[in-house]
Amino acid sequence: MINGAGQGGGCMVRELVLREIVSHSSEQTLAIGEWLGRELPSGTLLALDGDLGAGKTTLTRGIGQGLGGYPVSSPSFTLHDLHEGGRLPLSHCDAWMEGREVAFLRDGGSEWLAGEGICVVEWAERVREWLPCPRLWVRLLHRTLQTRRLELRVLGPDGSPEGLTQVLVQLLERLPESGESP
Amino acid sequence: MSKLILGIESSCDETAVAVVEAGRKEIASVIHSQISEHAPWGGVVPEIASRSHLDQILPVLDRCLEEAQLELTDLAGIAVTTKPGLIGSLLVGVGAAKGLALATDLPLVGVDHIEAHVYAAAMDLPAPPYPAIALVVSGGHTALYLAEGPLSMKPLASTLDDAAGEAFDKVAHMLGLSYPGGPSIAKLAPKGDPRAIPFPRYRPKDGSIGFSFSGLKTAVLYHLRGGDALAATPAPEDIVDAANVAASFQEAVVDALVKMTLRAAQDNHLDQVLVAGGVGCNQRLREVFAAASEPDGIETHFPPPNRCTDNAVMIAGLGWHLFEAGRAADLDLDASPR
Repeated sequence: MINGAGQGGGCMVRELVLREIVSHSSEQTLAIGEWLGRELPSGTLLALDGDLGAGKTTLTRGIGQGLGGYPVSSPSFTLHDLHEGGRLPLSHCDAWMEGREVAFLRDGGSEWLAGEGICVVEWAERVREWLPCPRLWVRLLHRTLQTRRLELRVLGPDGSPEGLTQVLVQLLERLPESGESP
Repeated sequence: MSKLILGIESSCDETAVAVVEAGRKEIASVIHSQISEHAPWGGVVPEIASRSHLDQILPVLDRCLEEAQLELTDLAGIAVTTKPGLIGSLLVGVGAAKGLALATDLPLVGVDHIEAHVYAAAMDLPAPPYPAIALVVSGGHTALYLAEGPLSMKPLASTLDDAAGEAFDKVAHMLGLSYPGGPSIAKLAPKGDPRAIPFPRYRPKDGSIGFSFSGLKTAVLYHLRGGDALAATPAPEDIVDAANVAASFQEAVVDALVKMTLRAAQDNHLDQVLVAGGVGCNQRLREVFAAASEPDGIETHFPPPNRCTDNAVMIAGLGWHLFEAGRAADLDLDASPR
């Protein structure tokens, strides 16, 4: 059980599905992101965490590509970037400086977390209490200097998955390891 | 006919007001920096920034007019930063500018903050340097433009991931140095050897022009972990070669910035380069640019250090050209984060 109770979520969530993928290059991470960008349903909150340099922004760049060629870069400076005009809007947040991000969320930024389109939060662990459920949680781990392990989970409310939760569970089950659609 | 333009800048964490005559001559400039208010958070907090702008905007305006020994009625127009930046911060400046315009009947113009930074590198030159290659490099931006004139900038390339200033902040954080990272690393770097650690310089695979600093940041992390991706990151006090890391990292950033910018100049057959933005304060960047430009007959221009970071002189200066080009706005002028 992962406690997701907080200002944003307010629910107990459990892990419904776990996929583990080894990415052998930043190109593969980008391709997995692109696939997610093409497939994720509106309303998805994608929480990203992992060390500096593990590939969070790379994955998000792929998602931006898949959604409609959005020029995604790191939002550490602006805290929040909104991209529009593609298949769905992409809201991109960064909680690297936890205090700044919490101030941003408290100041009304939290409405981006559950809005229309896709919301990606980097360094999500630091603002976990704010995140709504269900959510797609992707952890990127350093494996060797070139490769990364991706752990992708759907965290949702107890009980059999329905609605958005069910869509996310099914999506994760058919995510191709290469990111290339068969 | 007055040629005095009032400039207002509040896009991020400086509240600034200036008066500039005919786009070139600084009459007065006042800047209130919020850096000490944000330092405990390790970066600019939007809510704190907009509140501070609200507190400061009128006092800063009053001090500027007092320094200039002018009344509002002596002015020819009001220029204000409308984009890009933190929306809550921008709105304070835009609101103030609109209020002043309404009260005084002065014309109003909206200024692009990035174009204004580039103009800061050009405004003191004896002759206009256009067409030129412009490098904008700061905490939020790292991009190259083809500047055909002060109001015409064509984007050539932008960072794929982190801005250069952000990479400085993140590496400073790993080394336990204070925010903002640029000045902290620049201060430590001279104590180290810039060739001690061969950090990577990003080059796009297709031979085009581009920037990426994410790989460099990861290379610093792996170096600190002793080349083992899975090792723990040492605490700052356990890092024995911090000065060499700072020097070698700074050299890698400077190298990438200088090489790509000069390549862009050569590809476009231009011999003028303008460097703008906060990272333009970096002394090593200035040295390497000067040394590398000269053999190719390229001239690189930097603003004076107090106009690298955010200021309103550049806003008032570029505002003059916007008025001259007939680009005055009406009172529904709006701010935009991008």
